[in-house]
Amino acid sequence: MRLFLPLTVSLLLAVACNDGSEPVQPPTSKDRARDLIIEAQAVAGTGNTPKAAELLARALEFDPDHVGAWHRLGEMRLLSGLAGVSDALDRAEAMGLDSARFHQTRGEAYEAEERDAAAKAAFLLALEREPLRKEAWFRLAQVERRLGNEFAAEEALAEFERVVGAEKVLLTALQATQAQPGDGMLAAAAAAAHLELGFVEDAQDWVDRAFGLKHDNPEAHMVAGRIARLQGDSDTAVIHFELVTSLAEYDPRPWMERSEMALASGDHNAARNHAHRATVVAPADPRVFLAQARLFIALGELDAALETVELALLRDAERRETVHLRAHVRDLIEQASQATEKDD
Amino acid sequence: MRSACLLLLLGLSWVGCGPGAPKPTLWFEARPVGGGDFQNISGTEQKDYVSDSFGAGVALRDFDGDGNLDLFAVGGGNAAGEARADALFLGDGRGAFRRASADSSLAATPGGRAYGVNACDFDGDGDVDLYITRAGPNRLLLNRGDGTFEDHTEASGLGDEGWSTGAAWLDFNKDGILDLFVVNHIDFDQAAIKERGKSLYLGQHVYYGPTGLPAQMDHLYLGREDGSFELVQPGEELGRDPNYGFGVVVFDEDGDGDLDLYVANDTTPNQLWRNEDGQTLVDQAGRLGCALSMEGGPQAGMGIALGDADGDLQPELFITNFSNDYFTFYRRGKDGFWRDRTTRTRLHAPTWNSLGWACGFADLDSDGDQDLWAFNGHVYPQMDAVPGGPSYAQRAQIFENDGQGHFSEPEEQGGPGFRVPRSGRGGAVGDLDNDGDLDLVMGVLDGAPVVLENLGRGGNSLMVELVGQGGNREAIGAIVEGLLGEQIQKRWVGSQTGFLSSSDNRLHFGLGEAQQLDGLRIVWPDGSRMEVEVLPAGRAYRIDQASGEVQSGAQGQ
Repeated sequence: MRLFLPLTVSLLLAVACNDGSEPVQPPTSKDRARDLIIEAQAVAGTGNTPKAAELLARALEFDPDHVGAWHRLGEMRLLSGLAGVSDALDRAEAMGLDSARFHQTRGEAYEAEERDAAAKAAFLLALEREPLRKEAWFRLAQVERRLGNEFAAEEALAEFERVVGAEKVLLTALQATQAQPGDGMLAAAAAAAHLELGFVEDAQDWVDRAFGLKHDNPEAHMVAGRIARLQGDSDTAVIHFELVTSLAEYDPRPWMERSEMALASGDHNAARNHAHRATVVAPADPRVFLAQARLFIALGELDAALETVELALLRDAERRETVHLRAHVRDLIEQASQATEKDD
Repeated sequence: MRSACLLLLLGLSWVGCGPGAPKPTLWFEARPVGGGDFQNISGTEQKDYVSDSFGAGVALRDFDGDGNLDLFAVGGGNAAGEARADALFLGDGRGAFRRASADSSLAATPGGRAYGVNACDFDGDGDVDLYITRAGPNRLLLNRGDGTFEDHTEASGLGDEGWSTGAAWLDFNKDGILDLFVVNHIDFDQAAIKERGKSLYLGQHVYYGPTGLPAQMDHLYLGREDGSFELVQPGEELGRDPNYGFGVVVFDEDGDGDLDLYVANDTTPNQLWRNEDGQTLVDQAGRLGCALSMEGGPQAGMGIALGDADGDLQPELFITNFSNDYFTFYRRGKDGFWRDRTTRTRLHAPTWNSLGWACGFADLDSDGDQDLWAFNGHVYPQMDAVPGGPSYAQRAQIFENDGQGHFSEPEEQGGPGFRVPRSGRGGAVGDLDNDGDLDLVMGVLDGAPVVLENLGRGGNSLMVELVGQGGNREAIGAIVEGLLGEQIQKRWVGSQTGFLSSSDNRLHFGLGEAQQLDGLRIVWPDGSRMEVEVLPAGRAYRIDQASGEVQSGAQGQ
């Protein structure tokens, strides 16, 4: 009622001011729905989600085909602990809604019902559509753990932490470049931070800026190589990675990148050689051994993988990612051994 | 016509709430304690430093042994960090308090201002002692048995030099002697903070911190037979990544027979310290799902409450947080994982705008289920200058349980006592006037403590006090199940509640219309079990572990 009073007043004013040349249109159902949805959005911003749900339900009486409102109604009901979450989300889905946020809501609704397997499927759908959706990685990690999938939980958590960390790095990089706009290394750091979050075009802009400020810039070449790799331009990628090596010979990252590229192209010897070079140029860095271990897993060389994980642990015994990779490799070895026993 | 309707409505409203009319089930009226001669003070009015923004711990226990609840309140300190005197108010059993005669041990003590208090008979001699947490050496005050105290800090070794906030007694290593876990906050250096200047929040210049300041590690002290304590390092994890700690609760989280701890941390992940065989603490909060918000971010954990709202006998944790965030309700599943159940319990919306501190589970209307209460108040006085922003003083909140574990604020918001905005911080619960229902005391920042007297139309009830064996006389760690028809009400016995405060350690069981509790099942801290048969309503019971004796008296005796 409170909402319609201003509408009525507006209408009366409009009628009063009308000089007769333009006929005044009464508000349509869609207009009323839109006003209610806008009000619901404002109310939700104050934390009053039950009221927002009420307004959205009213809006949908005027415009039952508003797919976004059905989704939002599901969200508000979920946050408020109200019934009818699934009904609202089903309506949105039936109208074709397939966004990352929709699947996130669906996953959270399943979680609330303690349906973890269904929640996992929904979060994976959200991540297919938006791979950097950190909330989905976090919730997926929790669900995987409850389902008993420790390794998958750790992988999801690592991805969540990577995205959160990358956001912080990006913020810091942007602040730094604002303070020192003429610093090419800072511009390259901003490029790397953008790329880490998947903003490829922005990363390319920052790379260009970085080269403009300092041409022999290893970090800028590193980012340029990764962008080229993402775009499928292996030749350009290799050129940039070689330049990184010539400018910063103890940087293992170009070797790690080239190892992954070689693996993807089926050149296993090159993959091994590049991974080994990474361990030679940075023998104290646990990341190079972790990368090499992952390569061995991909090649099915599990004993070598386990030995390499142990080398990573020698360099950083606390690194959670490595601890969990060791557990994973041990599981794989155990599974392989059981499979062999069965065959025998 | 509309005016007439309005008058009619107002008339009805008057009839409903007028003098002599039956009160709603949840109805509290407020009155300050101390007659104007005591106030907690915390730094400057404009809160120049993070150290000025909280404190005001209170303890509700019978300190002088006359059977009535008394009130201890920390005095805080001025802007220069100089301590103010703490105060003890003796209760008359009818809800009134008078300040105890001067006791030198409660006078202003140099070395730092007081923030919180844990009241517990830690030495098992039959009277309630005090552990006062401060920015500066903490203090251990031994009760002489009559509500006067002597300072035992130096002899005990418990003068933790950090900026301490929460503290919890527990028998960590199950040797029959209570140990102490002390939660610490920031490595506070006022000169260094001055150099940092101010932070900007909602367009206002506010104090700097805690983010960006070094955190202090929490400490575990093991009790020895001679009454002294030894600071120990229980494994490698405690202190490795210090957080800005506040509230702490102890309970046997994993059901393995020893006591674990849950610590609420400000702007950093909360911790669930699992006790591994009385020797090591391992933080499992991240793995088990009770460290972060539902989006994966750290919250501003302040106070903690432990209870069972839905009657499924699984523990639940309620944690107060910053405004524009929700107070978190975690429930432990039978699979051992904790789930954020804030939305399912309908607590997300009503807590979104509050900045909470003390909180607790309590059956405030004695209807047989656990309600929740929270005391609120913003940290920045500057918020009053923000149009449409959160207010500095905030009203306290009750969340009434519908019996199924869903909460809502009562229509009258809990009566006038709950409707007045204040700077609530500490808080304790107990039956001040011995009428069978639970009253509350709010520790007010820069103000006198406030009694919130329960005048609602509650159900029947009874109280149970456990007397444990040996040094753990308060039976910390005991689990009690009250049987009421098909229903089981579960209670965990601890030593600190909510935020930097201690409540009456007697357990309150609301019975609704029932005239009796059908039985009690007790698991004592040493794992031994005891069952007690029918307990009529309207009585207070004292159950002694050693003798197995159950004494009863009128409530308040």
